[in-house]
Amino acid sequence: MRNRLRSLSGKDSLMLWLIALPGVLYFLVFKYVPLLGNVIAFQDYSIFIGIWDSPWAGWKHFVFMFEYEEFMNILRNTLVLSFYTLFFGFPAPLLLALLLNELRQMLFKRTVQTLLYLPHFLSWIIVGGIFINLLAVDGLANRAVEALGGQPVEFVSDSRFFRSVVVLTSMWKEVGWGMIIYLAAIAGINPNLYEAAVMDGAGRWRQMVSITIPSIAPAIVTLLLLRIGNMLDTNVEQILVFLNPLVRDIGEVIDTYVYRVGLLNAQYSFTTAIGLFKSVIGLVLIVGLNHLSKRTTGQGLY
Amino acid sequence: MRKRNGRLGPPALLLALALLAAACSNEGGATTDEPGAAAGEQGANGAAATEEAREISILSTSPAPYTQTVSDWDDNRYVQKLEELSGNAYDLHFEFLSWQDFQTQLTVRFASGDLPDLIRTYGLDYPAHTGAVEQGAVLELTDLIEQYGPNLKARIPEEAWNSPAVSKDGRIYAIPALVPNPHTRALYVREDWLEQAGMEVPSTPEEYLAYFEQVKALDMNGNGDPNDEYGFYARENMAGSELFFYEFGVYPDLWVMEDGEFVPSVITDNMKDVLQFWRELYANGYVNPNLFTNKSADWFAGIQNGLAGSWVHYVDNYVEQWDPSQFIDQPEAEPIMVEPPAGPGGKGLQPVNAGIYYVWMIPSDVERPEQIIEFLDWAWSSDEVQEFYAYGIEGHNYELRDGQIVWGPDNPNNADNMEMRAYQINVNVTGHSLNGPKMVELSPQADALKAGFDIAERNTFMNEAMYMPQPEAFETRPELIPNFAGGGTMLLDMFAKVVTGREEVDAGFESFVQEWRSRGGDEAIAEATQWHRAFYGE
Repeated sequence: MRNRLRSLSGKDSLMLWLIALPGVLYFLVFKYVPLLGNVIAFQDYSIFIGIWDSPWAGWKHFVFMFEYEEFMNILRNTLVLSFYTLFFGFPAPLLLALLLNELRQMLFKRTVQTLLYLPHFLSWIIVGGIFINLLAVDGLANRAVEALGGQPVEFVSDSRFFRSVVVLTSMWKEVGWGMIIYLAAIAGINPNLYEAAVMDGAGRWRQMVSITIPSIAPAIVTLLLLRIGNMLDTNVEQILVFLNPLVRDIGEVIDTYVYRVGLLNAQYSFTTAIGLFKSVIGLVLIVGLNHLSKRTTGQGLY
Repeated sequence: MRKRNGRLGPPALLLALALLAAACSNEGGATTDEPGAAAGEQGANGAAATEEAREISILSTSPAPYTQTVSDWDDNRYVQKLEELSGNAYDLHFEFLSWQDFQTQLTVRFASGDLPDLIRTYGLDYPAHTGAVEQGAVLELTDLIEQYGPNLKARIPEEAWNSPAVSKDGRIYAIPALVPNPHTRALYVREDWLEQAGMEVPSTPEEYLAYFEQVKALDMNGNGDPNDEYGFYARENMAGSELFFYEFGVYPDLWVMEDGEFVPSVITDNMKDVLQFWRELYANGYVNPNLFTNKSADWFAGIQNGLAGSWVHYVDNYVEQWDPSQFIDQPEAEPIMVEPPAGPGGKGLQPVNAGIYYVWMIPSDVERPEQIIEFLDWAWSSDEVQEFYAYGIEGHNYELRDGQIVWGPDNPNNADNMEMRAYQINVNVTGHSLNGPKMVELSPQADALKAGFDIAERNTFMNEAMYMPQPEAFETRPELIPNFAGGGTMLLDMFAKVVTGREEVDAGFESFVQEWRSRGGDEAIAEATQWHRAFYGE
């Protein structure tokens, strides 16, 4: 590529630059320039004075964040919840895609696929409301528990169940949507590979283990690394629906704290500081794991 | 600028792109700004705007769906009617921000400096413009109102002017817009259930316990299951469910003097009685067990489906939500608004408030602000304007028959897209007129409404902190705020844990008070005590 570019005449390379210009401008204006806005994390920002004249505050907001009595608890909640979501939520669409790929009846496959990704289009307010009613003490789930001779369980107001409820409901809602990427990757595998494998006497299981999974490994690694970069992000809409005073000790995460303190009280500098902290952690994780992944599997994001 | 385009080439292309972007953003501004163009249009409409007509741009918001159906407010019949009533002394330009996204949109307007003459906001301390007063972004109005707003002073009560939403350090920075009924909280009870139980309306917390026991024992809603009714029906974050609090001398956001300190009533020992009482409600099944997760929509549905023996809501909602016809499959349903119970701590439904619906602020760079004050003064004092705000336009929203006003909420010009909100709220610069005395008089449920408003008005109690600005310590630690609103307060967490039996009353309460004080509550108390001394003078 580089050699060909160099061999282009001056006029041609100018045209190429012009073609690239809108994209470059887009990234400059909408991605890089707003990054500079992060300086307000080190200011006492006021919308009336603006970024240029707001007084500097140094590390004040970061110190306040670490001194907050519940910060460690919130950070731990966030990490544990993210880990569970990753551990259970990440393989689920992959497994589903592999299973669905084995189906022969096209009509059945399409129908199942559509039904599975439909919940993705519902908002969390609706999905959360449905699950809260289903899981309530006098809800359908507990009727079933009672019919089986058990005692009603407080699924939504007992902190022991909070993480399970959040992880399972988010899997229910998003698994079908996540599956689509894998199905697309599987569809892109060269059919010759399968034909050759059949000639060699490979069964369906063998084909999956030796052809399908290795072929989509780059997609898996890419998605995994991207997910890890957002380790400190949680789905704030979902958590807010399920959060209540009885599960707050487990359920409060960084994002809900930011929502409570920052947006409701207009603490721009403080919330920017928390956002910056999250981004730095995310960056470290993604760079580190990308490096690790490249060394061990040869696959990476860049 | 665009004419300067010379030779075409890459740089020109770039310039064209930039110009295009600039043109687009100009276009976006044109819909909100450039009053000149809009005024010209109106002149063409034959509104005969005199040359001296004072232009006033007004930035507001409204919950009415009607708002979205209007593309040009300068051309709107209600705006024109208001101008006409002023003898076309004013040329009004209304703009409405999104009701749901108001705070963000208002912040953007302040940050960009694109401000009108009058800005609707919820108070000086509203987070959309933190620091507006301190940075001098809004006009101080004390003397202007004294001089140009005699009717404002006369018609708006002293409590409203003293509110921290309106004034700071004794200086006025905003003009309140009021609600017709400042106190509308009501206690609803199912009279038909009382009859089934053979009881009178309970008058003490203990009598309520007896009623709740009957609700539990009998199959009140007649669906065959005696266990799906609850004496009191509460919802998430205790929203509007604060009964059996003031009866013990405690109420969210109520501050009291104790041992020389001005403290939130919820950290006084009386709170233990509240906790004990609510714990009993929960343990005995007198209150719905899902009270901490019961969403608002489920709460409404639950009551209308006959799960509730009593609940707290507003008088205003009687017609739309709590009329007997709203109760599903219960022809006997008879919800009534009753006197609240009297407990050892007192009797009352809600603290006295100034009835502020929202406030107007004027940016500091507005020219001739006295004319804007005069405009508001006129709207407040003109009987014609107040009548317009109540009934709308004759021949469109109401008819005159034998000198009697015939007005009905069912008139399509009132009902479709809630068009009546246009004159009740959108162009009403004095507040809103919903359920105002003029409207209640015409309602088919006038008697019930009047009785409800009477009870609500009778059962208020004084909160000395009503004029107090929020203590600084709460700003970065909202979990300290001594109420349940919005969830996430330490008070709510402790209340939920003790009521559901996860913590004991004494242990739970005491560790809460200690934690609350050490996390910044002590600073808040010091600040509040100092404010109390300065404000009430001791």
